[in-house]
Amino acid sequence: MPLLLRNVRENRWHKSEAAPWLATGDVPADPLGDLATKDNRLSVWEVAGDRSNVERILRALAVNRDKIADMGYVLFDSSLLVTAGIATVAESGMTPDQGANEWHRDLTDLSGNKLVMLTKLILENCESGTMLKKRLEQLVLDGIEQKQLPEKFRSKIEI
Amino acid sequence: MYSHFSGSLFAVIAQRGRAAFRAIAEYLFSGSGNADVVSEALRWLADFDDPATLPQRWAILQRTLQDSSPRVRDGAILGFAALDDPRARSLLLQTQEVEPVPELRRLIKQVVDQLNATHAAPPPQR
Repeated sequence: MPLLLRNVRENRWHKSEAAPWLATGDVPADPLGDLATKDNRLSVWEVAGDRSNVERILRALAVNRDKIADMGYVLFDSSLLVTAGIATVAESGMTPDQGANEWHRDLTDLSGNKLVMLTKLILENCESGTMLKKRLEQLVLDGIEQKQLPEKFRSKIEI
Repeated sequence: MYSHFSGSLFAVIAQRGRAAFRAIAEYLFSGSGNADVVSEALRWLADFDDPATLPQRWAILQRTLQDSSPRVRDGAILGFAALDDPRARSLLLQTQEVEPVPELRRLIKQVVDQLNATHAAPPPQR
């Protein structure tokens, strides 16, 4: 099953030893802050089998912000959603990169319990990473050259 | 949120100069600062484009690489990525050897790779 990507603050998703105050089976609260829902939906992105679209997804998310900055993310197998009883729908993304928008998905009908379960499953099974700002800026320049992004985003680049 | 935070930080530094750095350093090293705030501040301090304050910013980042909080160390590593100064490579490689969090060791490697590329790149045209 395909991988899904969610942008997060990576340092909240480290697989370090559980905090001593955390009860067995419980999850820390901070990662939940990276899974903000709207209309009980959570925005994620479907990653190609060879991961060839990861950089383009992160670039699309980066240009949607006021300023290009390091971008953390988690990758997790969509089979976790079956475990958590969470449904997915294809819903076009809202980024300036039309090509990337087709990879956007919404996780739907999320309750509090489902969100906590999803957080636990992602924490236990995810691969996390951070795309550095300098790499993102180069990707934005490439995207402008390849007409995947509008020229106006050149003003966000500092390199 | 981040742009407001960084904008405020830059404004304080621009107005107060080195005095602002001393005050910020006191907060960062107080041990009572919020780890998320400190981490964010380190990233944006490094991004401040002012060669005159590089020694102060470098010293702050170097010290916080040893902080007990992984989130603060994360901010320091990303701070060195923002500085993009190849002279930080040896310091980061030493830090990588003793860093206990696998994700941070991997992040250090990414930053060192970036600095190697910066070092190998031709100087910018003037």
